[in-house]
Amino acid sequence: MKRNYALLIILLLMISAQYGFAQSKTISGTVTDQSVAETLPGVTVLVKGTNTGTVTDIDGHYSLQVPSNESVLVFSYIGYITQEVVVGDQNVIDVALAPDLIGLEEVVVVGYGTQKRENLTGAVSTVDVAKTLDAKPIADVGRSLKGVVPGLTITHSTGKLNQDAVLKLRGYGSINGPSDPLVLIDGVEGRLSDLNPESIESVSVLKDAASASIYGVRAAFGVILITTKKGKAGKTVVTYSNNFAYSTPIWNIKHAHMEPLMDAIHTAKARNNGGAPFAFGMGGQDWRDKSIQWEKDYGYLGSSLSDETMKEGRDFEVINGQFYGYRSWDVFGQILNKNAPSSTHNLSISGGNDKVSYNISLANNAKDGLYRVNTETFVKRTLNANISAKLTDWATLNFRNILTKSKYEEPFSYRAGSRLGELFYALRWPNNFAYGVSDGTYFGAPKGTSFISPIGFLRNANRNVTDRDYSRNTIELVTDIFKRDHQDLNFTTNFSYSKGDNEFHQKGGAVPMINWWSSGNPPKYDPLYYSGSTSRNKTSYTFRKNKLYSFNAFANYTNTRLENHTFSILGGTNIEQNDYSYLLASRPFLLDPNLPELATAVGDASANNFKSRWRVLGFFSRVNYNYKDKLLLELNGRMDGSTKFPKGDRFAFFPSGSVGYRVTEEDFAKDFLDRIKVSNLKLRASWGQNGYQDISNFLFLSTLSNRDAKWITNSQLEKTFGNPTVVSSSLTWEKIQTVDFGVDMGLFHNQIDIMFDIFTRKNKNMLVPGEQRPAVLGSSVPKVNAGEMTTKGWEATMSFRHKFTKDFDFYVTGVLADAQAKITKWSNESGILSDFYEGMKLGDIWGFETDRLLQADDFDSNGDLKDNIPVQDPNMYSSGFNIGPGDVKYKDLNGDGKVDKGSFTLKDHGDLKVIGNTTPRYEYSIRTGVNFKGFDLGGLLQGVGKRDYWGIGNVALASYHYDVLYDYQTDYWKEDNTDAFYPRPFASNAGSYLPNTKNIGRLLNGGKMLMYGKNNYVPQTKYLQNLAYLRLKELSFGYTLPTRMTQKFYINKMRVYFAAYNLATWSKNFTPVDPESTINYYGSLSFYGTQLPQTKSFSFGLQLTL
Amino acid sequence: MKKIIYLFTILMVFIAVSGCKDYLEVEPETEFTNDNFWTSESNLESFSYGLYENFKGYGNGGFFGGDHFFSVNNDDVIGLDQRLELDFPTTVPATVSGSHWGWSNIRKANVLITETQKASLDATIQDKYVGVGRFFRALLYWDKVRRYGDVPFYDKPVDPDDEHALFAARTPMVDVVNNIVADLDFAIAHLPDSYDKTKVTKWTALALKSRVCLSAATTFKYHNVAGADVNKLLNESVAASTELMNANFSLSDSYSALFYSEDLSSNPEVILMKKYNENMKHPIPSFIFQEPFFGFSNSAVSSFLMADGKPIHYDGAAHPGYTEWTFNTTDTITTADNAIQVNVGIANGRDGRMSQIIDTTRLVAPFSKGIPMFSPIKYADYDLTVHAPKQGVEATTDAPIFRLGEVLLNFAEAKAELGSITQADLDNSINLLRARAGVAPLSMNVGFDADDRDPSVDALLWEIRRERRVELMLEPFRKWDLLRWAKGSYYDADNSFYGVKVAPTVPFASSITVLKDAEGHLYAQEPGDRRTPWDDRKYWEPIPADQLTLNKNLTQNPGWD
Repeated sequence: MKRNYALLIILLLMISAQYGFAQSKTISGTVTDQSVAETLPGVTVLVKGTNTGTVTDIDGHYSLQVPSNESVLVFSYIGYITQEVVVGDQNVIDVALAPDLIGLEEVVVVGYGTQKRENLTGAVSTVDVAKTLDAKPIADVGRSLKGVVPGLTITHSTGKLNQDAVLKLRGYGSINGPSDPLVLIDGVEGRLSDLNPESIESVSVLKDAASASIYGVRAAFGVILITTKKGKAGKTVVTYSNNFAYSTPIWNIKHAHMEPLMDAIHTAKARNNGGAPFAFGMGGQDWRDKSIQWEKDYGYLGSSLSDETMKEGRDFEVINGQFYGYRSWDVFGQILNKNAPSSTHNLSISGGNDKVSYNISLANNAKDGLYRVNTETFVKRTLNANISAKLTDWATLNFRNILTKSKYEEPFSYRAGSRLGELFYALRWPNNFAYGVSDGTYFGAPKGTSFISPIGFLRNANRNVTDRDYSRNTIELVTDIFKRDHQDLNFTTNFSYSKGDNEFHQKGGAVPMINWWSSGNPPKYDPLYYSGSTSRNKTSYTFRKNKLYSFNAFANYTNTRLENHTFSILGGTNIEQNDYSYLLASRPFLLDPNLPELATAVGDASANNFKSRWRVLGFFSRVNYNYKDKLLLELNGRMDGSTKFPKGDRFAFFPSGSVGYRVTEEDFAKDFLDRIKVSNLKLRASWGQNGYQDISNFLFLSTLSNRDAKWITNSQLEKTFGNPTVVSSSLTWEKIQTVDFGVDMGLFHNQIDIMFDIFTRKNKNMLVPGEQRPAVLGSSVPKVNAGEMTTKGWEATMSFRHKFTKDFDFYVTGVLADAQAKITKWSNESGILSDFYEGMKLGDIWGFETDRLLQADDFDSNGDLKDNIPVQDPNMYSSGFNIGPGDVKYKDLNGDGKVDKGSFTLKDHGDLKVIGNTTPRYEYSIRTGVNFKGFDLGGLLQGVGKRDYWGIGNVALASYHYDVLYDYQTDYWKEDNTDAFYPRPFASNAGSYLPNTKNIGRLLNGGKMLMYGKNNYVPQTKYLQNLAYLRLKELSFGYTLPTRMTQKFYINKMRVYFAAYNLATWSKNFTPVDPESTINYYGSLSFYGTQLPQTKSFSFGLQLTL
Repeated sequence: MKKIIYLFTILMVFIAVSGCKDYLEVEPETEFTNDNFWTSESNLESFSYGLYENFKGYGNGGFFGGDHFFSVNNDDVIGLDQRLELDFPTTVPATVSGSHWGWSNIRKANVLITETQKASLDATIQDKYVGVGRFFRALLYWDKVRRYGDVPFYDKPVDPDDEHALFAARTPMVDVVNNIVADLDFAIAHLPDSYDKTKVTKWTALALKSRVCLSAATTFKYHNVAGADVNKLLNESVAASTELMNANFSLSDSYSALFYSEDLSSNPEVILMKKYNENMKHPIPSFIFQEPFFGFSNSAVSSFLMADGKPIHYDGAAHPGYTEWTFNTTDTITTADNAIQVNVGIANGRDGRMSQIIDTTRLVAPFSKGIPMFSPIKYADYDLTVHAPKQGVEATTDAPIFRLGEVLLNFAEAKAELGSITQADLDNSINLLRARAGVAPLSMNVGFDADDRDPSVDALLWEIRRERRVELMLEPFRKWDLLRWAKGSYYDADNSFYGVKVAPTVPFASSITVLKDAEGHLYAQEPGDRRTPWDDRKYWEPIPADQLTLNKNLTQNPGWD
C-alpha cells in the first residue's frame, strides 16, 4: 500500500513537470485595510482563472507576473471582501480591501458543491474552525464541536478516553435507530473520532431537509459536512503545533463522616422490623463506635494514613469468625488520578505550484485516563494527504487519503456485562468496608458473587487493548467539459474506499483476594485466598471490520449569460456499499494470567460471527436560480433505492425546495433599512422530504436467528433457531418532512450578525409496532409505517465583531437553540403511560408532587396517620416499611383523599403529573475574545438551560440502599433534625412503584425511561435532578510573537498559549455529580453518577508557521 | 486525452447505472431465511430442539422455572404465602404477559410441521419431523386445554393477515383432545422406536398419550363435559400404557436414584430425561439444603402408608403402636444453621419412599420464614452430610421427564375408572411400586377404611390415588390431579395448612418464630392470613382481558367475567 502511494506521488510530480510557465508582465502594489488604513500581509493575489498567484509580504507588498493586459487580479483575504481588478495598462495596482465582518463572502460547503453565504437559502451553520479546533488538547472533534453549532447536541455518556460522541441535530427524530446526523468527510461517511482536528478546513452543518436532501436516505436528520485542508499554490508552508495538558476528574463526591453514615445505617435497619444484621454481617453498636473512634484517631477518610495495609486490631477485627471493618477509606482518592497527562503534536506541510498542490498533515495524540493505577491510555496517530494535480487546463486529478491508527488500553473490566461502570461498587458500600491490602493481596468480595472489590480488581487487572486502523483513499477527477463565456459545465467523478478495522482483545484472569465477606448465614471471615469469578477468567478477541465503497458522479452546469438571471443545474448519481463483519472468539481458563491468549488458555473455546451488507443507489439533481442576487430559489430532488426495503418499496423520490429573498437588495427597502441600521436582511423558507433508513437490515425478510437450546443430548447445549420472523407485506421509508423559516440579518454595517431559524420536522411514516393482534398469532407483530413524531424548535446565532484598530479587535458569538419532539400519531387506545401516547413529549417524567416530610404531629397516638392526611397508596412501600415521622408526604393533587397512581393511564393517572423532562432544552454557548497586538484572549461558555432527570442509586438519593452515605447527604430527618432535606433513612428503596415509561433511541436504556424508586423515593418533584448548567468550557490566552522578530529565524508566525478547559461549572442540582456525564446510557439500572467523570484540564502549547 | 476521459467517465456512469437492477438484491450472509432453511435433516433437528425446551424439568439453567419441585403449591406443603394466589390467577390478567395464553411454541410446532411437509426431503425424514412437530403440538395443546378448557385449534401457523384464524372462536375441548390424540397417533406411528432417552421417540409419545388420555377422560368425566367419550379415552390410555409396560422398560431398583443421579440414561425406568451438566445446571438441591422455602403438610406426611399397607388412621382408630406423627427431641433447636439435626420418632415399618421424599431426620427453618418445618429430601442425596449441595444454580443431576412409574399409575387409575381393574392389573402396576417402597401389596378389596378417605371416592380408587400422590410427590402432578378430579376443595383442608405435630417439650430457641396450634401442630401462617378459600372458578384460568377485546368471538371462562 505504502509503495502505491509513493508511485502515485511520483506520477503526479511527473505530470506536473511537463508544464512550464508562460509569458510575463510584472505587476506590483500594496494591499491595505480600508477601515483602519493599515497594510495587510498575507493577502492572496491570483490571476483569475489560473493557479498563478502570490501572497503579500509583511508590509502588504506583492509582485506578480501576469499573462496579459486582459488579466484580472483577484485579491482575497480571510475576513475581507474579495476584490477583482482588471490589469489594463497598469504596472502598479494598490488595493484597499473592505473587512467582511460577518463573512458574507464566505464560501460555504454545501451538498456536492459550494455556495456563497449570501446566496444560501437553507438552514446551514458553519463552524469557526480555527477557534474551535486548532490548538486544543482534544483529539476528538466531537468534543470540540460541543455547544458551538446551534441545534447540534453532542453528548458523551462517560469520560472514558475512547467514548465516542453521540450527535443529535435538532433533537430526536425517530424512535427507530439513532436518528443521528450523517457525518461526511470530504463527501464520504466517516467518524469524527478518526479525524485529526487540525487537518479540518471547514465544517458545515446542514440542518433543514432542503439543504440535506441531496444526500438522500442517510441525511434525514441533517448532515455534518467536513472538508479537509487542501494545498494551495504558492510557497511551501510548514506548520507545527503542540499541546501539553494535565487533566483532573470533575468529581465532588466524598463519603460522609462516620457518625452520620453509621447512624443512617442504624436508623434504616432499625426501622425494617429488626431485619437481618446489616452490612453483610457487620453490625451492632460496637462496629459503629469503633468506626467513629477510628476516624477520630486517623482522620476523616483516613487522612493520616498513607499506607494501604490493613492492620488487624487497628483497622479491622475478626470476632466469632465475622469480619468487622473500622478503617475509613478515601475510596475515590484511591481510584482517581488527579493529574492525567496528555500531549498532541501536529505537523503539516502544504504548498504547490500551478500544476500540483498538496497538503500533508501528521498528528500524534496521547492521553492518559483517570485511574490512579493501571489507568486507561489512548494514542492516536493520523496522516492526511490531499494532493491535487492539473492534468490539463480542463482536468484535475485529486487524491485524498486518511490513515488513522489508534490504540486504547484499559484495565480489564470485572464489571463487564453489567455496564454499571467501574465506579459502581466504589459508590455502593460504606467506606469502612475492606478496601485495603494485606501481604500484597487485596480484600475482596467472595468467589461466585457479582460484588466487586473495585480497588483490588482495578489494580490487578490485565489490560484490554483496542486497536483501530482506519484508512480511506479517494480518487477524483474533475473535468471542465466546456467553458464558454458565462457558461460552465464541469463533471466530477470520484471513488472512495474506506476501511475500519477494530480489534478488541479482552484479557481477563483470576485475581487472588482475601475473602472477608464470605457467603453463608451469618457471613464468616475466611482468610483463604480465592480468585475472581471464573466467568472473568478468560480471554477473547473481537474483530469488527467496516468497509465502505462510495462512488459519486455528477455534473454541474452554470449559466450567467443573462444579466439578471443566474442559474445552475446539478445532476448525478451516488452509489454506496457498506460491509460489516464481526468475529468473536473467546476461551476461558488462562494457564498464565500474564499470557492471556487463546492459544494459552485451556477451556472450551467458543466463537461467533456476523456479517451484513447494505447498498444504496441514488440519483440526485438540483436547480439554483438567482434573480439579481435578490430572489434566490433552489429545488432538489433525489431518487433513492436501498437494500433495506422489499422490492416494491425499495425506491422513493424525495423532493425539496427553498427560497430566499434579500430585502436589502431592493431599492425601495434599502433606504429605510439603512436608516434603522439594517445593512443586510434575507428571508428564507424551505420545505423538504427525506427518507430515513437507519433500521435493521432485512426487516422485510423472514429470518431465523440461532441460539442455544436449553437441551443437552450429548454434552453440549444443542443449537436451535427461533421462529421465522413474521414480516409485514409492506415496509417502507420513514418520511421525514421539514419546514424551516429563517432570517439572516446584519446590523450596524454588519458588525452585528443575526441568524434565526424556526422549524417543524415531522416523521410522517414512522415505523412502529403494528396494530396489536390476538396472541394466537404466536409471534410479535411486524412493524408498520403508522406512527408520527413531530419535532419543533428554533435556533438563533448572534455575532458581534468590532475592529478598533488593525491590532485590536473584539468578537462575541452567542448561540441558543431549542427543540422538543412529540408523538403526534400512535395507537395506544387505553392511554397507558408505559407506552407512547399521542401528545407525549419525549422525555416527559411522570411523578408525584412532593408536599413535605411528615412530622410527629401528623400521627395519632396509635402511630397511624391522622385523618386529615391523605392515605398514601400502600403499594408504593416495601414490606416492612411502616410510615412514620420523617417520611415523604406526597400531594393529593386530585383531591380524592388518597395518593396513588390511578390506573397509570392518561385518563386516570391518580395524583401523578409530568414533573419534568429529560430533553436538554435551551442549549446555549457564548464564545468571546479580544485580540490586542500579539495577545489573544478567548473563552467559551456553554450550557443547558433546562433539563431534568430521575436519578436512582445512592449518589442521587440519600440512603437509597441503606449502607452508604455521602457528605452532601447528611441532612436527613432525625428527631433533632426535623427540618431536613432528605427523609428518614430506610433499609432499601430499590424496586419500583411506577412502571417504566417510554423514551427514545436504542441507546437510552433500550428505549425505556426508568422510574425506579419506592417508599420515600417514588419519582417526585423534590428529588428530581436538575441538570441545567453553565460551564466555562474553555479559556485561552495566547501571544503571537512579532513577525519581525521571528522572521530572523525563518519563522512566519509563532504563538504560545495557555488554555484551560471545564474550569468552572455552575449548576443548581442538589447532587454534586457532573451534569454532563451523569446519565448512564447503557446500564440496565441506570444508576446515576456511576460513570467515569468528565475532566478539567490545563494545557499549554506552541504554534509555529515556517 | 480529453476523449479518453470522456469515454472513461461515460463508461463509469454506464456501469453504475446498468448494474442497478441487481445491485439492490442483497441476501443475508450469516442468517438463514425461511427460503433456505428447510433443506436438510440437521436443520430440522436443530429447529426441533427449541421445542424440547418445553420440558422444563429442573429448569432451563436459571433459578426458577422448572417443573419438578416448583409445582408444589398444593395440599402437600406449607410455608408458602397465599399458595392459591401463587399458582392460580386471582384476577383476570390485563395482558398476555403473566398468563399462559402465549402461542409462540404452538406456532413453532406448526411451523415445523408445515415447513417440513413443504421441504423436498426423503419421506421417512419428513414423517419423522412432522411426527416431532405433532408430538409437541399435542403436548402444548394439552397444556392449553387443562388450563383453559376450550381453546382455538390451529393446525398451521397463523398468518398475520388471516382474520378468520385470528378472530376464531374457541374450539370445544373434546375436539381439541381428538386432535391431540390424532397427533399422538401420528407421532407413535412415525417416531423412531429407539431407546434414546434425550429425544422424543415412539415411547415418549406413548407415555404422553397414556397421561393425556387419562387426564382428559377424568377431566371430562368429573367436570361433566358434553360430547365426550370418556371410556374411549380411558381405553386409549390403557392401551398406550400397556404397550409401554410391555416394552423394554422396568422400574428402577432405587427410588432415590431417579431424582439424584448424574446420569439417568441407563436407568431402565426413564423414558425421557433432561440432561444437566456444566453447560446447564439447576438449583434444586440448593433449594432443599441451602435455601429451603417450604415444609410438608400434615396431610402429605399422613398420606404415606405403614409397611403393612395401612395408613396411620383407619377404621376410626390409629394404627396399632402409633398415635400420630410427632416430632420429639430434647436438643435445643436454633436457626444458627438452617438444617437442624434431630431425632424424630418414626414408627418402624414406614413406607420406604417417605424417607426418600421427606427428610425425617431434620427440621428446617425455611429461607424466608424462620419457621421450622420438615423439609423435602427428594432431588438431593439422602445423606446430605456426605454430599452437601452447593448453593445456587450448581447441581448437574438429570431430571426424569417421563418414567414408567407414572405410566403404571396411569394404567391402574384408568382401569379403575373403567371399572375393569383386576388383581392382576394391580399386581402389574401399583404393587410393583409398593414392592420397591417395601409396602405390602394392595388388594382389590382394600381391607380397611382409611380415615382420610374422601367419602365420595371409592376405597380402591382412593388407594390408587393415594399411591399416585405419594409416588409422585413434588413432581408436577398433584395440582393437575386435583383439578381433573374436581377436588379443588382439598386446598381448603385444615391439615394441609398444618405441619407435623411437635411435642410441647421441644425447646426452641427464643429467636425462632414458632407457630403451633393448640395441639402442637406447626403451621406457617397465621390462620387469618393463611388462605384464600377455594373457588370453583379456579378450575379454569381466565383468558387475558385484552384478548377478549381484540377478538370479540372469544368468550371468558365461567366466573371470570
